[in-house]
Amino acid sequence: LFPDFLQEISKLLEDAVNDFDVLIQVGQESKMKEFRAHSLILSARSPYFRTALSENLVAKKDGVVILKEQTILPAVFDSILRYIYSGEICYDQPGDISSDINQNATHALDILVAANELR
Amino acid sequence: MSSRKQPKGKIRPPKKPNSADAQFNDNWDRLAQAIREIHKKNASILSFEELYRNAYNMVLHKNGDKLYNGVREVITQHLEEVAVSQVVPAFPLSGASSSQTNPNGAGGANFLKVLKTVWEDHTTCMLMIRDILMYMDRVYAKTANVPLVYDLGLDLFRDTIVRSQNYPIQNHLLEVLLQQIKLERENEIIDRTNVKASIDMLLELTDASTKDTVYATDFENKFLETSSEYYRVEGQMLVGEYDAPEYMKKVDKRLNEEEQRVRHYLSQTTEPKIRNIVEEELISKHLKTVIEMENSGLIPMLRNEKMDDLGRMYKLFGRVVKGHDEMKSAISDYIRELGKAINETVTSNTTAEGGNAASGDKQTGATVAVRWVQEVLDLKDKFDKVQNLALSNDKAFQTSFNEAFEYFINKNSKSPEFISLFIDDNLKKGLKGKTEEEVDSVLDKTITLFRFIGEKDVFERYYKQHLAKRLLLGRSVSDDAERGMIGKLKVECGYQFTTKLEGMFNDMRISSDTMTDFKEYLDKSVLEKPKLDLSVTVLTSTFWPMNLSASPRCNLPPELTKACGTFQNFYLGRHSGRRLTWQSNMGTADIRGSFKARKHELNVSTYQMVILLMFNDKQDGESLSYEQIKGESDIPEADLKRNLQSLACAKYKILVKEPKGKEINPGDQFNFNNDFTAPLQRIKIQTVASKVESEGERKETREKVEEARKHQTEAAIVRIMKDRKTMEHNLLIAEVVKQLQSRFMPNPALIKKRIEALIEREYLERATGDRRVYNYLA
Repeated sequence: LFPDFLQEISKLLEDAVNDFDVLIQVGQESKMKEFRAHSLILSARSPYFRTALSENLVAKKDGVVILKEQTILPAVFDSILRYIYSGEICYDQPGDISSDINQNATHALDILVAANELR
Repeated sequence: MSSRKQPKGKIRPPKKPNSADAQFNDNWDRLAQAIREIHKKNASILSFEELYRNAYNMVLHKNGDKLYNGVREVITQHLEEVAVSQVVPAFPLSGASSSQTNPNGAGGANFLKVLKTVWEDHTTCMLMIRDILMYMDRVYAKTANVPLVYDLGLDLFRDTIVRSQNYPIQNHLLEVLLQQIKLERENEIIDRTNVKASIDMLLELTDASTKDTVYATDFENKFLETSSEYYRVEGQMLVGEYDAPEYMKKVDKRLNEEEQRVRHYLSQTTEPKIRNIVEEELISKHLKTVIEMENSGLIPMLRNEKMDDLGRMYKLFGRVVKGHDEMKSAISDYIRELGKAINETVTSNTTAEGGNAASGDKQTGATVAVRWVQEVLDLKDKFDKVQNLALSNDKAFQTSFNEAFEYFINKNSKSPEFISLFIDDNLKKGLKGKTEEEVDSVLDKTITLFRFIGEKDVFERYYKQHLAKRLLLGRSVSDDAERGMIGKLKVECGYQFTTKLEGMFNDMRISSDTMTDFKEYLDKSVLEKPKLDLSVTVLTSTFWPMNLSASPRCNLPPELTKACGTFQNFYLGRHSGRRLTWQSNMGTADIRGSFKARKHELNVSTYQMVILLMFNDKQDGESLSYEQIKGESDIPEADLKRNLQSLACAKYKILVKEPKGKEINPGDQFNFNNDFTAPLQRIKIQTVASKVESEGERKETREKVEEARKHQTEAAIVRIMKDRKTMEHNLLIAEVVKQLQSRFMPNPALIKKRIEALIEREYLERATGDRRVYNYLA
């Protein structure tokens, strides 16, 4: 039951394209990437998001909350978001991240830094 | 550091100082501005993520303290402004006299309303500020050991607004609150939500030194003091103006109101305190006054059976320490007083009869007893009802009531006799037309009175006498009823108490068997049959209250003497070694009398039979004098007078007395009443079997009881010493008292005397070492 549960929650992230209620714009200008997520999951897993999403301070547009995280690299945020949904950190991801080992190490460090801020 | 990855990042780990300062100033300016915007309620234009990041960067770069102090400054500044611009203008009226000049408290209410708004704005802002500064709270406040920013906001509010040094906000606030409460106490409608908001605010603020809420340190004591004063005045006013039931209703109402008040807008912790104050001022201080209120206090309530009022008093007074004690003692005194009155009517009745009682106006004597018991029972019923309906069956009250009953019942030295007579009255056949159930319930109640009797042995003696008469004269309602009663007594006093009574029943049963045998014996025997039907009851002398040695003399007619002889032969032939003594004072006889109008069957006592038979030998109209009858029959004087009275002065006048009158005196002449008529064929001549004893008899009974007590005391002493072998004087006395108190209260002097008597007879000895210790001598 437990692994199933995790798997199904993780899957929510893949499916978030349709039923998201939070839009997070990560990175600066040209490198900016949008992530779609669920406020419920974010709030449950992170005090930062809980505060950010619970207040009148956030701007809402068509029922969707838009957060801007300009100081974080999209790749790093991607890992964090995955961690939030699945409880696992995965380095070996396809996609934007280069397979260069050296970069991988920096990547890990960046995750830690961002995690401290967004704890 | 997150900016490290940024290609164009301005900040690098080895930073130049001025660039860090610039960064700090930039960050701080934005935050301060944001806080101001929040205060202006413009929060929606702000970006949470950005502000968060600003605070994050400041804390990260070791500028947490500067940030923290900056925030403090901005908030303080804002609150100062609020105080001047909003709170101070809302002061109800300047000066301390505001409560007087503003009777309906509208200004006060408005002030509270403003304060409420100010407070709500502040807390809302603080929540937002807390969110923005979340990182500061988490990282800086913890390590620097300073309050979290929200709590800082509360402290600032406390010091800048509530306890402002610059403006008398605190005075106004407390005064207005107390004024509002006072208005409400005087039945004005106030806006509770505003009061509640202020109270909640005070509850949320903490006093720095005591760590208690500002509510507790600043407000609560003042509130309690004011309330004390208020209720002190009100208590005096109410006591003077209202009667007891009204007063209690008011108090009840006040208590409810205060409870509601606390529930609606004060702190729950105040509840017991304010309750104590109302209880102290309105109940404790006026306990006696209310109880003793003339025409409406406790006693009038009891007299008029005001159960609701009594119940209310019980509940209210139960709230304070002394309340129930005062009630209890007042009620007990009242019971004693009523009891005394009952006792007095009885004694005045008996003394009024005076000589009558001695010569045997028996009916009245018994009536007095029955009336006494009935009145006591009514009183008991009344207080049982009070106990049940108004006092929630409180055990403590029950005990004190019982003590009061016990007290006055034992004040009447005749109570054991009266109670026994009352039972006798109810168990006697055909007297009342009550159903068995009714009788049973009356007897149950009587048992409760019996419990109160201290001298149960005296009761036993009377009960035995009355039971004996009922059994022998066939007056008992039913065996079942009698046995039921004995069963009840057994439950109360144990089986020892009733063995003799049960023995009496046994004798009755065996006697009836014996009589069957006797009839058979007569049928078979060749002896001449007696001319009359003889029915004999053989009684075991130790069970029955008869005096063997003073067996009453009486000259029985020859036929009867002969029949008795036959039975005696029969009985002694079957049981050797027994002795029969004839108790002619206890018998009854059925005789047939021929009067002018018709014949009647008369059911009379043996003595009456003897008297009537004397007239058989006389001519019509020939009279016998009292002395003649006395000499011929040899009946003891007291019995003779009583029997003559029932023949000549009672309902059925079989004899005519000359001169007429209720009393039998020496020298009276008696004639057979040939003209006697009665509607019934069979007539029962009532010899009154039960009556209140005369003084002489009472003295005699007393002596017998004393004698019996001596034996019982000695028996108890021996029983105890046999078991313990050696015992100290006081312990022995205590143990003896314990064993005997179910029957009577032995006094220590009596016990001491018995101990000495036992030492004399060498059952006990004093220990050689210690004179206060006794040894048992086997």
